[in-house]
Amino acid sequence: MKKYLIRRILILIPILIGVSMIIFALIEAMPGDPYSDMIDPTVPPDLIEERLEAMGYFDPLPVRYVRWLGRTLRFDFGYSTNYGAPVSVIMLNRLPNTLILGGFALLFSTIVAIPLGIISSTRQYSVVDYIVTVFAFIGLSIPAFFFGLLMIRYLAFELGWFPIAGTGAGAGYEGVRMLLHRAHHLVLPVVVLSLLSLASLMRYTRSSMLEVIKQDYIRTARSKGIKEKVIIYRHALKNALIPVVTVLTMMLPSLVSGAVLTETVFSWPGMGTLMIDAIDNDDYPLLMGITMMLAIIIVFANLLADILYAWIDPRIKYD
Amino acid sequence: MKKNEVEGLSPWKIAKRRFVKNKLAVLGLILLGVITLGAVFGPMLTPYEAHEQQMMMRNQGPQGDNLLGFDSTGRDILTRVLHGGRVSLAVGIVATSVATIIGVVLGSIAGFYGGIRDGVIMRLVDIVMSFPFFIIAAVASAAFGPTVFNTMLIIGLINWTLIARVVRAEILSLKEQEFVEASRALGLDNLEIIRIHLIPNVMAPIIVYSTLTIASAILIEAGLSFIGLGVSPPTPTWGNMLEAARSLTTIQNYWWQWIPPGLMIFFTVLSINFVGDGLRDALDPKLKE
Repeated sequence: MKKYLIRRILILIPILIGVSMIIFALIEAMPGDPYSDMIDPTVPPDLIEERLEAMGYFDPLPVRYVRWLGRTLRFDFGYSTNYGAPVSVIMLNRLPNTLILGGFALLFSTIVAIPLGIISSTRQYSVVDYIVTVFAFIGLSIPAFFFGLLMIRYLAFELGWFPIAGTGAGAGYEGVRMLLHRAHHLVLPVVVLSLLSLASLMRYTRSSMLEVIKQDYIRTARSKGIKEKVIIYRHALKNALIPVVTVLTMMLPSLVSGAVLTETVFSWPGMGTLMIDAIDNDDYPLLMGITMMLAIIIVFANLLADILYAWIDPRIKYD
Repeated sequence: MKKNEVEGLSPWKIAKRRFVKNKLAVLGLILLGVITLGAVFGPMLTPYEAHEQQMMMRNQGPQGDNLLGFDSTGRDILTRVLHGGRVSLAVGIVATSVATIIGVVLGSIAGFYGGIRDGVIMRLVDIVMSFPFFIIAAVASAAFGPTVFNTMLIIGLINWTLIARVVRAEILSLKEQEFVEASRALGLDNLEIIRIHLIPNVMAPIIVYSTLTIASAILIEAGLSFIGLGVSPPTPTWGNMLEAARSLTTIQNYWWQWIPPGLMIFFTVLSINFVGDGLRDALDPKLKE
């Protein structure tokens, strides 16, 4: 187990280097220099040139990459050209909002999807199964941001059930009222962001359960006269959930991507809207910081998935 | 009396029979056909051009024989939805072709040769899979410019990993079988074995996953164009027509400007998913009894 862990962690190094190289090259390929938007046009071009020279803007790409990597390893992501503040500070300001949104979305989709998946597998081809399947197809097919826009149009504008945008922070409430107020703002974004993961998790749980129910040990349990409930929830579910755990962590990249669109639709001040800001303002240090941060989160989530998988399923060989 | 003749069924014929029995898949295929026909021929039938602006009709709703009203610059929505279908479908199909070619080539090299080539390719797969793909696509599109061609290429370049993994896994088990040994004994070289004997055997999963990739490519295009980083206007796509809905006024007052393109994306992706699912059940005899 220890050997497996060490090897698995060592693999992360080339992956992270590869990811960062590609992101770095892409951002360097973007047009404009960091000053092109912020400097007064009356400043003589020589001076700009000189400043850019001084910050190493004209060095060859590999040199700049190594320099960037060195700084990043010390958690120094540089200064945002747009906000005039350290990138790390800006990101730490926004990160909690995205974590709240993503965390609740993950929680919500798990709580809803796994029971629905179980029910639909234990009653394969029943009406319930049919409804759940069609619902899953709809969830997989509707663009989440379009679904969000529909929610805003009908539930927020028309019926007035939910606020239209924002996190609800800074409304001046305190204590429980503040929590309720913020929870109220959270409902629509969480539902919208959960939609895709909810649908795919439901499908995975269903097919994984169907697979397990066919196995011999379930038949043995049935022939011993064990109650169906015990068979399903004690014997089958444990094994069926093993692949579901991996799927759960594998959904993280799409959750992160979905967060960008969901945050845009609901004007949610998180990492996603921050990233779009950074693109619009040619704020390269900030953009670089955000993409790297998200990539690191995903890579470590994958690591966590592999470790969990190996820990839950003793059949996995470690070498 | 005539003897009962048993007709031989090829695997493809069996698959076709199974597919036709699947109601949702057939429904999806019909819907997809209608949408494609509408996108190809529809724009020729409407009385407007996609870029034609009627200043008097700005933000006017549906009226009389005009089914879907006009956008904020007085362009006919129905014409643009039909026209946008051409672009959105083309992006989906071309991006998927790019992804499939890369996936099949790299997947079969990794699976067949193994060793260092497998190691390098699989690390590359790991790298691409740990990308926040939507964010990379957004950055790439900001870097290279939001054109139709770039959007196709970018979506293709980040969507090949699933196909590569499936092809690799299939070839890994296929190459141990006797018929590969036999063809080697007959003097075929590696490339011929891969091309003539292995890839045709992997065709079923390739078809299934390519179909599903089209669906995800259309969704990614829509998302990118929605935030202004996919195909840029005035070329209409379903995604960039939805960009109008980034304004709350439009969401609240002008439903005809953003709900039709959104529904088109939904129905297209839904029918592709139905077809893909039907294909999976039809082509994989192991899955269903």
